Amino acid sequence: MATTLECALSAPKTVKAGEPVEVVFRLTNPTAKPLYVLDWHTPLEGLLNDIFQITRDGTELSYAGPMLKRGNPGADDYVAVAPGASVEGRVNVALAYDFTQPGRYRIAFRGRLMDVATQQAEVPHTLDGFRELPVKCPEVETSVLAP
Amino acid sequence: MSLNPRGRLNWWMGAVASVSLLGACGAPDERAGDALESNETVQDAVAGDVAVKLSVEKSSLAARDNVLVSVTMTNVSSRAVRLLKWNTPVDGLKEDLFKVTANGISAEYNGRHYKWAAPQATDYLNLAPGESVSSKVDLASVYDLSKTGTYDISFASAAHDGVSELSSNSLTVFIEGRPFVSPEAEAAPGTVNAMALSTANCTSSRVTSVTTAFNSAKTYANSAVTYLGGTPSATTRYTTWFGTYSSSGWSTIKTHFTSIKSAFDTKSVIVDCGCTDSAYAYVYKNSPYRIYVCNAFWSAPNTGTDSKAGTLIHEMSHFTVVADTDDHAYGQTAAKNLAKSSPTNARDNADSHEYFAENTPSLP
Ligand SMILES: [Zn+2]
Repeated sequence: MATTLECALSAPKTVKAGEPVEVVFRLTNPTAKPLYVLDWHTPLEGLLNDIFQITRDGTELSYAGPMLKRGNPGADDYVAVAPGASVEGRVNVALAYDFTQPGRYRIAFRGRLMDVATQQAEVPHTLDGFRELPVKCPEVETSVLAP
Repeated sequence: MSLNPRGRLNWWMGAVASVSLLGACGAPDERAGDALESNETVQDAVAGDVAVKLSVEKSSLAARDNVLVSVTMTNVSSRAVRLLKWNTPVDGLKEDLFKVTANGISAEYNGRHYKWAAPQATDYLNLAPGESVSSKVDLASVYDLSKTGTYDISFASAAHDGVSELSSNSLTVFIEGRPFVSPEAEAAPGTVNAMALSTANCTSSRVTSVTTAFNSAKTYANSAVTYLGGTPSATTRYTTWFGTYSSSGWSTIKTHFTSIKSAFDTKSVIVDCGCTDSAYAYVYKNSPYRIYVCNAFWSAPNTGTDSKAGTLIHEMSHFTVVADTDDHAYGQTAAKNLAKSSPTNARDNADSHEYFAENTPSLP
């Protein structure tokens, strides 16, 4: 069975400038076995790296959040996703990308999970043993209106 | 708003120094004094004399927001009363006057505790009948609000020398967790040495260790610049970390290390020891040159693979004004694989710069 996860993003259709822009990131496990997903570089851990590609009216925004250097993960850095179940992470992307200007924003997850394990006993992997898994989350659009 | 359920590092707080306590609005003493001849005519407030009302402007606070609570004390009795100022926030918070809880657990009070002498007349706040005094306090500067969650906040000054307890309404506020940074620690000048390195929130033994690492990072940056100043070619050291050789790729990396060296040599770098996350370190790309070092940093060797000095190289490379690198891959194995699969990303990867600089084991 191929290891796979389905990904979905959602964001408010419109927000007023200055308001939070909460993006919901959802991973669903369509397989018949539980999967163990490292939450690094995903909204499941918050917003700790430049994990979104965001454009305003076509211009890419720079990321102003933190950049973390990490060592080996711990078991608590993994999120279990039961067969058929979903997990969700919510982040306010306006905290790390500039959403203060009115316009049309497109938000895309850069699109990979750094490590996914199929056996609970395997986690945590060391950095050397990561099994990266690309995921495709359709991008979403948000309009920021003048306040 | 982050709804990070596990309350781990919430970055958007870390960079913001808490403002310290705001004083009272106006000068309550004078206002009250006008109406009153002397303290002798004023009785200590008893329970029910003074109503305390708390308010906040927003019910949901991001980690970068202060937790400003307005405290309005109104004399609702028909006589003039007095309160000991240190049981009120009019001169800033000098006691644990609030009850701050999240899910029933009290947030730790990290502010000052004073041992008070017998109060003088000036230690009292006098309130005429109907008079109100308001103050604003930043609870984030005195209470440990590192857990993200819904907090209940009420005013609950303890009985003190006959002054009865004041209590208030209870506020419910969603607060995004933020590392607690003592205002005293922020206000302190830190330790500055001749190399333009300063530290924040570091113990003296950590200052020593950071200073050693900083010197070694400068040595790494110098060596890398010297190496890259040699004749460009497909050396093992270059191709291991940055992939297929090209003269433009070599030149990009040379530019990066020249900027890194220049930042270490000439900029005011601040190493902040306040982070307790399990990671090595972090920075905000657009906030040069402050580097937050975390738990893994302290157990790392000074030099060599994933060392303290190498971590400083890694972090310095992230700043937009330095080399604007990202984190595409962590660890030597992943960094080597990245060099093979995407030299472009390897040239933009902070760990690749770190490993090139550490050069452990040494490659020609
Ligand atoms: Zn990094």
